[in-house]
Amino acid sequence: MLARWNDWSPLSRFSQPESRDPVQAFRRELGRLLFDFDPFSADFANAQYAGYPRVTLEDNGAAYVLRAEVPGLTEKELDLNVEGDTVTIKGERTTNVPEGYSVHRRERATQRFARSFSLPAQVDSEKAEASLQHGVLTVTIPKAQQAQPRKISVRAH
Amino acid sequence: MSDTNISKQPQQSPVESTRESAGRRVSPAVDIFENAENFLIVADLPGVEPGATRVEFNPPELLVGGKAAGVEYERRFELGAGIDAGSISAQLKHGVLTIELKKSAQLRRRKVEVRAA
Repeated sequence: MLARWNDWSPLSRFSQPESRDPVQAFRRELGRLLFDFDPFSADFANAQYAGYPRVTLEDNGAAYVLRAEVPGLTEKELDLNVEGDTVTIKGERTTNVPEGYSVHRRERATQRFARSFSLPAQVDSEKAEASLQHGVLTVTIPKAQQAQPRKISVRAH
Repeated sequence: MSDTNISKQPQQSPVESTRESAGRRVSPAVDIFENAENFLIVADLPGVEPGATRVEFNPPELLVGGKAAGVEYERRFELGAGIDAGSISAQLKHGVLTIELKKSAQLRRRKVEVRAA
């Protein structure tokens, strides 16, 4: 007999660090509940979830490195824009039910997203580079010449 | 005072810290599908390279995991009987891990007769 799928994991979604924000957690749960009931409303609820995709921003001194987790996406589904000191990542992640299969569980919903980030210092957007590998989009944006870290020598008197 | 047995333990080597400096533990989002022949588990594992995935089946538990920079993905599932353990295959593409678990012969063969009342 088939057993029900049980998620024993103590690392279930309820204890993920990102769920600690009660508003986001509520939104996520609402999205899931709605998805079981009506996939269209769920898509709307999820699209409002401002936290997708998960992004980290790192300052390595000479440049900003932005990493976005976008599993399943190819370059065609991504729209990346660097203008002035703002980076915008847009796209749509579609997931399909494989043909001929019934669904036990769906957590990887189709998601349209648009996230913008203001970078703290001026950047040289012409020299921005991006690569997509293993489902992670990495964007490296060098800081403008005047924003580069400078060593200040201390004169002894 | 009762006799206390004091045994001298050999000096143990220092225990490695189980928490990495920037390690996040994440339960990956999954889709689970089924057809007559098999189950499919599709998991989002962004940043995980092919050599860093873990798919382990210790019946009835299936462990799905992966390691990327600064993050550890892990999720466990309880599978009922009826999985052909030797036929579990997995493929990683664009950070998405798709695991195919074939149903064992007896599970596939089971048909339920519906009798008219």
